[in-house]
Amino acid sequence: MNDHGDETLERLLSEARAAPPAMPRGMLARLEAQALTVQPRAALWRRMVDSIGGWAGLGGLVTATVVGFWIGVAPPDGIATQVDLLLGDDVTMPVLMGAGWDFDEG
Amino acid sequence: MTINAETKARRDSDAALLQRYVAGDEAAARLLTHALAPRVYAHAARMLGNAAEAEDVTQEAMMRLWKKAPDWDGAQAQASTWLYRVTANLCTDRLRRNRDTGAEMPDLADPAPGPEALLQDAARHDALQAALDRLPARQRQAVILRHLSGLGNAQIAEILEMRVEAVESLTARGKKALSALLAGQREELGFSDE
Repeated sequence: MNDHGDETLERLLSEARAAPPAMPRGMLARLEAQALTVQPRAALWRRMVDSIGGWAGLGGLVTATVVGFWIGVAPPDGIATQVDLLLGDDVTMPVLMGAGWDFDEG
Repeated sequence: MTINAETKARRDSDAALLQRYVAGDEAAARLLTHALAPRVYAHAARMLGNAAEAEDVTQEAMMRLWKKAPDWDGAQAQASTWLYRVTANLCTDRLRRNRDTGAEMPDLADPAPGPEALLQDAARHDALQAALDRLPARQRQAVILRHLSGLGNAQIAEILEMRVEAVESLTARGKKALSALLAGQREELGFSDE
């Protein structure tokens, strides 16, 4: 075997290892698009959960819903007062009685 | 980490990513593409010596991986080993077809440093590629996987579906043939005055 041939080969292999063939411009993007095109779609419930921020987002949403419902059913004292301040107290207006339309038959 | 532990970790990681891919996780699709496609392309380009053919082979190999993903068995080979095997077979098919039709394959474009360095690099690249092109396909596969892609003999044996001893013999014969082909080109390739 030729020593120069061995040495030349080792140097060529070393250089080739250091500079592997690079993919043409845009090829990686095309391959990504291809991968996504044939990718199985996630189930509908999974996509909905992902769209609100995954399991953490879903947890927050459920907590907020439960707390809101609970406040509606049994509002704490402080909150009831604030609502009264905002909307005012219930008022019963005896409109019909006051107009004198409640006359006796006869 | 031992080699076996490392191999198992990679296999598990490939399997987990493929599971995520099948579940519709787009990030997994991107991660797998970025990790695997450049290696597939490099191997195909060195085997075929042609960028367009290498791109076609890479697209086909990656497409086969995506189609295989729903049935991927986590206990089987690493995804990269499986892909190298698919790539090796696709390249062999192309080489056979090109030989049968007598098709000429243009050279790969080289990355470009300065003008003189470019010429020298291109000459060296061409000399190695020309020598590789003259090896029988199996020897070429083995030499490229061992000495350019840097894979171990056990993984190459799995890719080429042969015994480790046969891989060692193939790479040794391949290197010997390459040395003989490159003998006498040392000065021509600019190695004598460095």
